Amino acid sequence: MDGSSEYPEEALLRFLQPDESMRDFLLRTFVEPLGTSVPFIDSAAIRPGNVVEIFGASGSGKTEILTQAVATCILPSEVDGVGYGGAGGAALFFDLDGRFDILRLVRILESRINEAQVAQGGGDADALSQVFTASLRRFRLLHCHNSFHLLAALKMLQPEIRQIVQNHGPDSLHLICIDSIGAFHWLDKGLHLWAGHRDALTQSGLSKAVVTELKHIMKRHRPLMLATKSAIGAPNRWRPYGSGSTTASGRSPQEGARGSHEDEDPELPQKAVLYHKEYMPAVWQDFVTHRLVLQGPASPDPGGPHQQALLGPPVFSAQWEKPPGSDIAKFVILDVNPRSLRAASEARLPVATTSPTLELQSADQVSSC
Amino acid sequence: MGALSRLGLPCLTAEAVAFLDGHGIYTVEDFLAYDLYRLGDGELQKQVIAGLLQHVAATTNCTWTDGATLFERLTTSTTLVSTGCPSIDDVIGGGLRPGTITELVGTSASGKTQLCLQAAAAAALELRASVAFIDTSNSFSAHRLAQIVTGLHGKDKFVEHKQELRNVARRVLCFKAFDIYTALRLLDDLLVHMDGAESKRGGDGNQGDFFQKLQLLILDSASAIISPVLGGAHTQGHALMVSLSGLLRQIALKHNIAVLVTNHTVSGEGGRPKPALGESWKSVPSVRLALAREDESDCCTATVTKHTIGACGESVPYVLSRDGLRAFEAEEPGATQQLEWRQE
Repeated sequence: MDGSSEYPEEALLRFLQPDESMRDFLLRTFVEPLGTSVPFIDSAAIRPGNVVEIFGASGSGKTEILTQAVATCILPSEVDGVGYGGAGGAALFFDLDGRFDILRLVRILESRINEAQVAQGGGDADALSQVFTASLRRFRLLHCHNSFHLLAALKMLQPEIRQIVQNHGPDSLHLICIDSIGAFHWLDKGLHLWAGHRDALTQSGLSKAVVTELKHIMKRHRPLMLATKSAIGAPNRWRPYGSGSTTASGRSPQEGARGSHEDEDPELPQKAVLYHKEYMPAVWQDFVTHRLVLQGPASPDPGGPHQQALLGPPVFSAQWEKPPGSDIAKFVILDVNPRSLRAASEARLPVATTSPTLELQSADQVSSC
Repeated sequence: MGALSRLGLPCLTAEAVAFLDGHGIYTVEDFLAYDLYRLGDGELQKQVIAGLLQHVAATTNCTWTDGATLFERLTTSTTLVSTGCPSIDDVIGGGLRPGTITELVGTSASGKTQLCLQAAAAAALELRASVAFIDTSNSFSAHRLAQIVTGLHGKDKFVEHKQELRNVARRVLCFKAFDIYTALRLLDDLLVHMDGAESKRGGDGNQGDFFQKLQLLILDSASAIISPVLGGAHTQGHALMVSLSGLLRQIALKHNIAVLVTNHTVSGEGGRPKPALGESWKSVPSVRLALAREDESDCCTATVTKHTIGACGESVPYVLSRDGLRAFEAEEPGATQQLEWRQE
């Protein structure tokens, strides 16, 4: 309402005027879901502007999911008649854990590009490496070492985004990844000891500042945000639903004789809900629109590794916690042999024999009662 | 954390400082945690914000790196650091990767320190790199290092060997740190020295040279200094642990250095050994190698229990010999010699 206080009726009428038609409203707000190529994330129809938190203990595949989503984001949708299934967008990656591995992203890109090419009946190496380099250029990474470093980076993000827009076109920022949001939890928790008990410089104060900065960015550019949150504190004793039987049947007799099945919890929860424990301040919790909970395979026994070959690839589980979902999706992460590390970094586009992908296990959707 | 007025920035006039005081902004940290949209957009505000942001940009590294550059760096300047045992190198993907943290977990006498010494010897001998060895449990032994160098170098070339040994010894620096505070200070110093060595190439003689050529940082053992501060009376234990891992990571990433840490085991559920640093530490290393000694035998196995890019679960048998860790062969020719060494 403006300040024309002389004619209150007119002002009131103006206020009651429709702002926009339903059609305009829908055109403005309806946005296509964003594909991440991770099946159980795409099934939830994640849209730009959403904030998805991925929770899980170490080794439950959080960073892998981010990397897969980044690959889909930065690959082009189509070049010279070859479809790559990507979005051709730019991705920003805040690495707070210092564990992002460019090699993993490179391998995923290589294998997807190769697959697309093979599906089209082969292409020349030049075009391949062009797609590859152009995709990598749309990815940007920054390491942060503490909360203030993260805040500084967020405050100075505008020039970076301007550059992205300049290079890759308007609305090209599709994805922001944060790995992982709780990385400085313990550091910030003790902050008040030296910050003189001021509200702004407490754990929740800093979290609020981070969320405020992120909100500004989300409002302006509407990217999808994926943030991982690793489990802290007490070890996660819950096993993925159904994994107990897999492990038991896959075990060799000697293994059983050694008594390593002791940790087989007889009181496995019947209603399968994956373990989630909140420790982030409330302001972050409110910011999150979706939450996916992951669980890795039971960690290999440090004493007896022999059964690994018998078991096949380890099975990971995923479940939506917000909005709540009862289905637990099972997936495996297909790996390239670590021995090829040297070879892969030397050769530009080796033919990927096993594609590093995240695969949904077929017919393995376990639904709870 | 110092008062803003002490920064001596030209944008911080008396008027500006008073304005910031009014918003409760006294330090750079306050400024970073403040929502700048709430400051308004007058001329004074714009100047202050621009000036302070410039200061922050100059003091913190907020430069984004694009994927193509990262990949180029990976292909052109990545030298894997060998552990000195080819079969173990093989399972972890060719060697210790610069920029990442590799962890060795194992019971006592499973060869953790031996592998650390061997990696130090190999890096100093073969890559002619410098090695910083942070010893927290008095396990570093120059004598043993010399033995391993001899094993790696080959005994037949004894004449050159003395000189070579001296060179290797010069390249490996051992720092003692018996508590986490000393270790933190040490790592902090290391970071400062390396930044210095980077900025003035070939700076102050021997020391500058050491930090310039540093390619491997060993912390043996990490658990010995972290476990005592975890739990119980220490409320800041986790913060200390995160600080330590943060520093290790910062050194690794900033200067492209391979970091090797060890973690001992304690008895877990059902008496089975489990790593002393558990769940919260688990996310620190990129590669975790579990070393285990088979009951009463000389044969040990090394198993990859975590690898950020490769497969887990691969294992390789090895034996501890006088010359260091060796791949296990069914008919070990040096078996008798090995016994001799153990009796010594």
